[in-house]
Amino acid sequence: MIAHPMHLFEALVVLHVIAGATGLIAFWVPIAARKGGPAHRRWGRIGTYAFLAAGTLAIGMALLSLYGPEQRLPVITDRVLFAGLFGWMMLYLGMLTIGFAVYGLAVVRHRANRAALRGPLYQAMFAAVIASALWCGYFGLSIGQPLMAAVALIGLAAVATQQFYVWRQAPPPRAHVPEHFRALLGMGISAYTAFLSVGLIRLVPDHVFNPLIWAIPSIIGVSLIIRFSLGARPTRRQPPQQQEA
Amino acid sequence: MSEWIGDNIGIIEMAFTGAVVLGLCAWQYWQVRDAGKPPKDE
Repeated sequence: MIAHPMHLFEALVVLHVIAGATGLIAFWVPIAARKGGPAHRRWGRIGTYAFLAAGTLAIGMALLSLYGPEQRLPVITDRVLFAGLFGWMMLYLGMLTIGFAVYGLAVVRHRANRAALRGPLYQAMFAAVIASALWCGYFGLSIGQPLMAAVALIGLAAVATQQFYVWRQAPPPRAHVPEHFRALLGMGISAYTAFLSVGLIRLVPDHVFNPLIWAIPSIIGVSLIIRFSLGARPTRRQPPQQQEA
Repeated sequence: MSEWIGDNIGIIEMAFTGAVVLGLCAWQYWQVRDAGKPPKDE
């Protein structure tokens, strides 16, 4: 039985590491496997559900950091900065990861009926990501941490393009494909950045502010997304036999 | 033009994201580098 908030936090960390490690490993299988094949779908689901769990646990840890007992990490004297980075920014990044994961699967599930993505559940998820990003950005600016505002901008841009696809009048055929891998690769970038900057960095703490550590997942992920996007760019002029019904 | 933007909005978003991330890393690099410098003599 977990009675103390400190123990609860530690339990969340352990579960977060297990879920995150599962996602980090499973993430590469659908990238390497034949797109749409059994391995792609099976391991893609495993990785996405693992990151969903890791994101949810990150939100729990963020809330405990914000509203838990003050004695956690007493060496940290700058409580405002702590609340900003390990509270509001972690909460926002958890929400963003969940948003990427849910949207990435949903665009495939509802590819023949985009109207389903306009339903209250999906729209509430978009609203939660936007609200957490806006608050993260505002809080960051108010405490002199523009980094938090810049990170929030990335999420706002992602939700804006997702909503553009959801509400667009007439998207080209197979427009759900780039939406699918952009969201799920974005989820991977978010997870790997967290892993390198918060997890693996414990082995090499001197490099905690090494910009290369923070940039590697984005450089690889964004390159993969642009490569896949160029390859799967929707074309409006297709022969009739290739067009969707 | 607006149709082209709509069809390529994902690539535009990625270019924006890449620019923000690289900008952040450059900013962080200068912050850390400047913090390690000894203060200039008057």
